[in-house]
Amino acid sequence: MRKIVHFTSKDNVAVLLYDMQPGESVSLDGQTICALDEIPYGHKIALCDIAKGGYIYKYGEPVARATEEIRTGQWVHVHNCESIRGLGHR
Amino acid sequence: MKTTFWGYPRPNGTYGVRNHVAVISTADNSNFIARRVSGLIHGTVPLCPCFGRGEIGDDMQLHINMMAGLGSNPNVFAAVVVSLEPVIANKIANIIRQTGKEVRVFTIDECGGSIPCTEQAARAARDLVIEASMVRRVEVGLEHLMLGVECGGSDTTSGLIANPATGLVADRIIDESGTVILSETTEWMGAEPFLLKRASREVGEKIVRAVQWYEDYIKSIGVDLNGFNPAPDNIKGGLSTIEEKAIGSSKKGGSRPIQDMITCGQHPSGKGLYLMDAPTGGVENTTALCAGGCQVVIFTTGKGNPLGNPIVPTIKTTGNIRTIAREWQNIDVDLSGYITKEQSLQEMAEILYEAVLAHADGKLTAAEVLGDLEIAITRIGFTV
Repeated sequence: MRKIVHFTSKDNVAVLLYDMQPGESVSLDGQTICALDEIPYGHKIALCDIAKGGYIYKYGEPVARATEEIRTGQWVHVHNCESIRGLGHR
Repeated sequence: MKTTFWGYPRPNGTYGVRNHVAVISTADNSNFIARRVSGLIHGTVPLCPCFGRGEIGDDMQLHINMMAGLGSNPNVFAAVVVSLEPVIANKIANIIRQTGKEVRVFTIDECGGSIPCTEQAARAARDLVIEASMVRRVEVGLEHLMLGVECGGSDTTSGLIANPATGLVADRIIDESGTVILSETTEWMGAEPFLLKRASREVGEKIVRAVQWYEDYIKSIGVDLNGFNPAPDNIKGGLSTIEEKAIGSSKKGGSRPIQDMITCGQHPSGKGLYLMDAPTGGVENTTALCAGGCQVVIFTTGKGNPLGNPIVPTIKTTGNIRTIAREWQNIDVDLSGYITKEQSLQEMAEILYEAVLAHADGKLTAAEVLGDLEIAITRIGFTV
C-alpha cells in the first residue's frame, strides 16, 4: 500500500494516502515526519517549516501562499494557505 | 499493442465509434418534441439544450455551432432536427449536411403544432434508425481517433494518478497520429510553466490571453475564485487552490507539443494535441469537446462524477480507492492499483489505453448504460 507521495525534491508538502492521526509518523526519502494534526486521506502534510507568506510547492511549482506560519508535520490546506491568483475580491 | 479501432465509416472520411440517430432540438422551446420522439423510437438519442431563443451575437453563433457540431460528430449516423421555427433549424441542419449525412427538419410552426411535429419527426427517425443498423464497423488506425480529456469531481488523487495516466494515453494516441483536445481554460491558471514550453510563441500568447480573460473577469466581479474553482467537493478532496488543481488537471493533456488553441466547440484543423478555450464545468466542457469532433472522452474523477455525453462514450476513471468502493457503478476504469499494489503510472496508463480502445470498439460505458447523459452550451452574455 502506497502511503505518501512527494512529487519533486523542491516540494515542501507531500500527499498522504491514508487518514493520519496526530503523533503518527511516516517515513519519506529517509526522513521521518511526525503529524501534528489529524490529516485526512488525500490531503497535504508539511515536510518542513514554512514561514507566513512563504510559497507551498507541489509539482515543483508554487501552488499556494501560507497565510500563517506552518510547522513540519502540520496539515496544509485552506485554513493555513491561499491561492496566489484568482483573488478577485481584493 | 493494439493501435486500431473498429469504427463506422462516414461520408466525409471520418469514423464513428457509435452509430446514433440524433434528435436535435434547436432550442429549449422544442426539447419536449425531441424527448418524445426519442421515447417513441428505440435507437435515437435526444440532444436538448437550455436556451437558444433570443440569444444574440456571439452567443447565438456559439449555440448554432455547438448544436451543429454535435450533429456533425462522427458518432452520429444521421440527425432529425426539431424546432419551433425553421430559420434556426435550417441553419443547424445545413452545417450538419456538409458532412454528407442525412438531416431531416421538422418544425412546430410548419407541421401545425407539437403533436404532428412529434409524429412526422418520429416517422423520419424510424427510417433512419433502420438505415443506421445496416452500417458495419471497419478496422482503422488511431489517426482517425480524436480523444477529449476532461476532469470532474477532482481531488488530489486526480493529479496524482488518473490525470497523469490519461496524459500517457494522450501521448500514445498522438504518437499514433491521433488527435487529443485538452480544455478547461481556468485550469491552465498556474499550469502555464508546463503548457507554454510546449507551444510556439504565437500559440503561447493565445493561451496567456485566454487565461488572462478569466482572471480579469474574476477581478471585474470582485470574487474569490476559491470555493467556485476549486469547488467545495474539490476542497474536501484535499485541493487547496486553483494553481494546485490546474497543474494536476493539465497533466491529462500529456506532454506532446501543443499545435494550436481553438475556440469553444471548434474542430481542430490537424492532428496532435490541441488546447480548446472552453469552460471547466463538466457538462459544458464535454459538450464543447464533442462538438469539436471527439469520438471518445476520458473523464477522470477523484471524488466521483457520473456525467456522460449523450453521443460520445465518456470513460470514467479514478485512482481513488474510496470512490471506487462508494460509487463503483459510475466508474469504468479502476486505477487504484497505483495505491493498493504500488503499481506504476505506466501500468495504470496501459489499463486505461486498453479500455479506451475497448470502448471505442463498442463496449458501453457506465454513463451510457445508466443514462447519466447531459449537454449544455456555454453562455457569454444575456438573452434579449
